[in-house]
Amino acid sequence: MKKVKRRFETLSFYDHTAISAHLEKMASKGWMISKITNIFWIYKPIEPKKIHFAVSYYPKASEFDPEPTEQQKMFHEFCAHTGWKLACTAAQMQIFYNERENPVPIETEPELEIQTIHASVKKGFIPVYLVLLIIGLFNTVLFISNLISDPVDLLSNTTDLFRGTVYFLLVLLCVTDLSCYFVWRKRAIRAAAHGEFLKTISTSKFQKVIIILVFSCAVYWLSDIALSGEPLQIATAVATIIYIVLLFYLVNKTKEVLKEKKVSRGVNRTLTVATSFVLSFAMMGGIIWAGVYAVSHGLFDKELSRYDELPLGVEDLLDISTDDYTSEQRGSSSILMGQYVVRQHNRHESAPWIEYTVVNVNLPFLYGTCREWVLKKVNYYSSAFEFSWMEDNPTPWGAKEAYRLYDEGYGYNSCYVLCYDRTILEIMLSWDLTDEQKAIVGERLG
Amino acid sequence: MAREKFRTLTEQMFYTLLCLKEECYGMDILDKVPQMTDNRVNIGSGTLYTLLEQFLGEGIIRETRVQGRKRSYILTDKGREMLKKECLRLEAQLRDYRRIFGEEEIG
Repeated sequence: MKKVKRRFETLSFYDHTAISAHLEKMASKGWMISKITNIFWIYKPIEPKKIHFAVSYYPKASEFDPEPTEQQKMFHEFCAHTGWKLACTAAQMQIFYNERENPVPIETEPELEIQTIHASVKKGFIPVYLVLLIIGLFNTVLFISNLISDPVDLLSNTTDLFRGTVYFLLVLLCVTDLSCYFVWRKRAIRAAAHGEFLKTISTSKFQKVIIILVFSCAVYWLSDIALSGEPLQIATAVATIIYIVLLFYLVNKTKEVLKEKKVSRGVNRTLTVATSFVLSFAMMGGIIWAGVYAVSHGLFDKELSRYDELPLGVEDLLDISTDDYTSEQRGSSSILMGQYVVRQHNRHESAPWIEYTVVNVNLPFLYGTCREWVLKKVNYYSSAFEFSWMEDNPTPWGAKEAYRLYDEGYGYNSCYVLCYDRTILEIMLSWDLTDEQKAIVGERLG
Repeated sequence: MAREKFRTLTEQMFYTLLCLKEECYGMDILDKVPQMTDNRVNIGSGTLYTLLEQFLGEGIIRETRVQGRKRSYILTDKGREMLKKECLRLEAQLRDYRRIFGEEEIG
């Protein structure tokens, strides 16, 4: 038989109805709750039996207490007097079990129960969720503003998409959990006026859905980075994961060690908070420094050597050698779309050059937005100049639509936007293309 | 809260205070109330703990003895007054009932 069972539970702090019911179910399967950590609920094996559970709240308790205070122990003794034995505690939450057949409940006055729950959630659940909500909202707004300013860049970046999704889900989780608590509280106060208790509103199933979504997104993000990410992206992802895990572990360990050393609540809280600030800034500083150092020393440079093949180069269009050319290719792709930018230049300014951006849209409903964005971009970046896209003949390119950039002062430029079934191509060259050259472009990039 | 704090007493508040006419250990109230009411009223341990804390805070009861974690309490003058007021209120209610329905309707 297993010694202990560790489970990740999706039960809200205030949701005493669902917690009691869940623990009763676990006990009937032979598992008794013994400890609640920041991540897991730990169960020890017992003889499967029907046991009553009750979750009570002790507002004066703190997760930084080295051990229960005398007053808290007195509360436990009161409960023990009516057969309620303490199973475990988690900050203000006190979990009791009772093996009597029809025990007197711990809480028999609904109004007082609401008061103690509210006094407890004000100390932990509400402030923590509010902070998370602010962080989530700030990042979601940032994500939306980036989406408006450059949708192609954002939607083709798996890391940005993952980050945006996670923050949005965080907002959803916080809003739902806080709303459910306050709705329950409002209804419970009304019921208490008639002497009735009201079951809490459980968000357990909703939390499970959120966890599954976050986990799936994380798996997709990591596999995408591992399979097709650039070295800098892989290094950033690895550093981020190590940063989060290590920070969480070290801060938690600091709190636990101080508790074991019987350090007072106030000192423990101060030291743990200070440690989390110092470590988060120090570690983030370290990562940024390492990143800047690596980039400045060319560790992650991805300039193509002359032997790397471009999808389309000057040499494919003109009968010249590009041995002394410099090429640069960078790109990113996600489940929604992919984008890559290619630049090929010669150190002599008079030599022909080429630059193009290829956007491959995987989801048809995003195609229109991307097309609009690509056509709008030229004015977005250079609003001081009078540029406009004029319709051009798409046939030589083999495209569905073609646009050529028109400069009010200098006439037509050798800059085009070409629309294919799934691809939008923006291409800029230093010379005017012939129809044959346009066909080659369409064949290679369209 | 719908109820103004301690303006009227719930049954559990009433019997807790009734137990504290004489000095009494907090925990003993858990047994005394069911005995006193023939098991009609039971007070939950959490509820009693919170009530004693609130009564102490409002000066309705005072601590008389502390033996480790065992504490005994007794009503203060304010508490007695409050209990008396509640009795008068209940008596008035009973009188009103009798006036409307007569003696024979009770029971």
